[in-house]
Amino acid sequence: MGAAWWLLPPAVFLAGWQALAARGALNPLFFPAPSVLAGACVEMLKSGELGAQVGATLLRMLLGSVLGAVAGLACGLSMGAVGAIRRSLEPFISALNSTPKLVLLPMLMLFTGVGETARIVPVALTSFVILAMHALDAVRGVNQAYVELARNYGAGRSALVRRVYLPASLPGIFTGLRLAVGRSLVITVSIELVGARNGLGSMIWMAWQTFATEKLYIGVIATATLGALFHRGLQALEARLIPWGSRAERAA
Amino acid sequence: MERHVRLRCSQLGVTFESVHGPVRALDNLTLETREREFLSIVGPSGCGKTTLLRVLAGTLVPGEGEVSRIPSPSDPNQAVLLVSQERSLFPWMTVLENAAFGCEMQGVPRRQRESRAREHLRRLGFAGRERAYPHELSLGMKQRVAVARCFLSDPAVMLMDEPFAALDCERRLHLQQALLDLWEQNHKTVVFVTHDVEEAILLSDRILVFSRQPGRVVAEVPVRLPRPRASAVTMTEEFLLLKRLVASKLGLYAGWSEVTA
Repeated sequence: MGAAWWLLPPAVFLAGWQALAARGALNPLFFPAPSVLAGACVEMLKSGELGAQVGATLLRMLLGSVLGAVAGLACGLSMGAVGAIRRSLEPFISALNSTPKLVLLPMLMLFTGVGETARIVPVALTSFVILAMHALDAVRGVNQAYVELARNYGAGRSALVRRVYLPASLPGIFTGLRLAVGRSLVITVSIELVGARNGLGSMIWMAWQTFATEKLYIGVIATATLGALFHRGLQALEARLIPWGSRAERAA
Repeated sequence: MERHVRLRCSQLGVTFESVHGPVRALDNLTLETREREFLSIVGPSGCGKTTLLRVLAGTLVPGEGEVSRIPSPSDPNQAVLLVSQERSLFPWMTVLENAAFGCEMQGVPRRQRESRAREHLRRLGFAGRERAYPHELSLGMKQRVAVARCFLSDPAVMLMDEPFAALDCERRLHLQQALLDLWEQNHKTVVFVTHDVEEAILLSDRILVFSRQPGRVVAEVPVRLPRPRASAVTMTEEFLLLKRLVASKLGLYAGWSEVTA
């Protein structure tokens, strides 16, 4: 019962919008009625256009963020484990963190030509940086009391990593993962907006240029929905994988 | 009966750096603990008891002095394990995994260590909750698991740092009894730190009374109450005499003149 409350604000908003549109108070060129949008959406789903665009965005985003996240995780964990690696890499990672990845697109296109590589690398870098920084923080934040406890019971280096450092940093790594996936979607759509022939970003841009207002709306809504779905999905996964975490505690 | 010394530390000194300058936690401390002995250390809070246990456990290297672990002819094992006051369990492991952790580190196969852990947990009144995570347990339950893990690993010496300090009176009595019962089965060497005089007398063979910071031994009190003990012993005349003695050494109960025994 309580879970459905979040439906109330958008329902009120859409009903108001629909009512105003029905009275002709809104210019349909700028504010098409929700019923019109829904019709257009069904149309696009039937023709397979929406599916294709969402698929193209998802492919870029997942490819980029998986590659970046794996590399970032490895990098962050090794920085956490070995001080020398941390000290030599940390400045570059902070620099990369504060660089908007979109600005790298022209440079990448210069190197690799106008193609998927140039579009995916910024997505991968986004995930890489976030995961590296979160994994590093998570490892360094492991409570030394647990390390001492495990050592007292005779844990060697590999047991410490496997039984203490990894599980203790899992919640922090997951926070990084959620952030990385969210940002990856943002950067993927941004890149498609300026330089791709398919994907949600490209669809939104084309819709703007051809004044296809319905498509514009549908593109934005689809992007937001994707973001929300990923967020919820990762939360559910986190609760499964980290039953001892603070989220599980609150849910219980 | 002369018992072997299992753990000896001589002239320990530990100084911590704090924002207000150096703090002397332990000063010229010498003590030894013998085989099959339950030794308690009582002292006011901040007298360096926890520091001493960390030194004995080998997790803190003292600035001065040294700790020697001595194998005995009957038991070559030299492991010294600590049950701490808090953060005594790994939050990411279930009760069963936590209890079996020591055996896991010793390389005992999973099935074997889990059945041993189940058995110990059952004896501590823990049946049915082996798959729970520590955050789902009360403090008293957590300490039971920590004590079970320590006994399961079967170390030469067990160190316990006020494991029952945060519990209410009733739970504490239960756990003290459970500890006494477990201890009766194998008479491990135990060093038990507490600020509770009754607890120290109830559990121990010998009590060392510590001074305020820096920690030094100000008195040694042997406890010759018969074993096996139950908490009813706290009502006896002998117990009360011992309590007066230890309390006066601690400087508790203002108005009492020092008891000479």
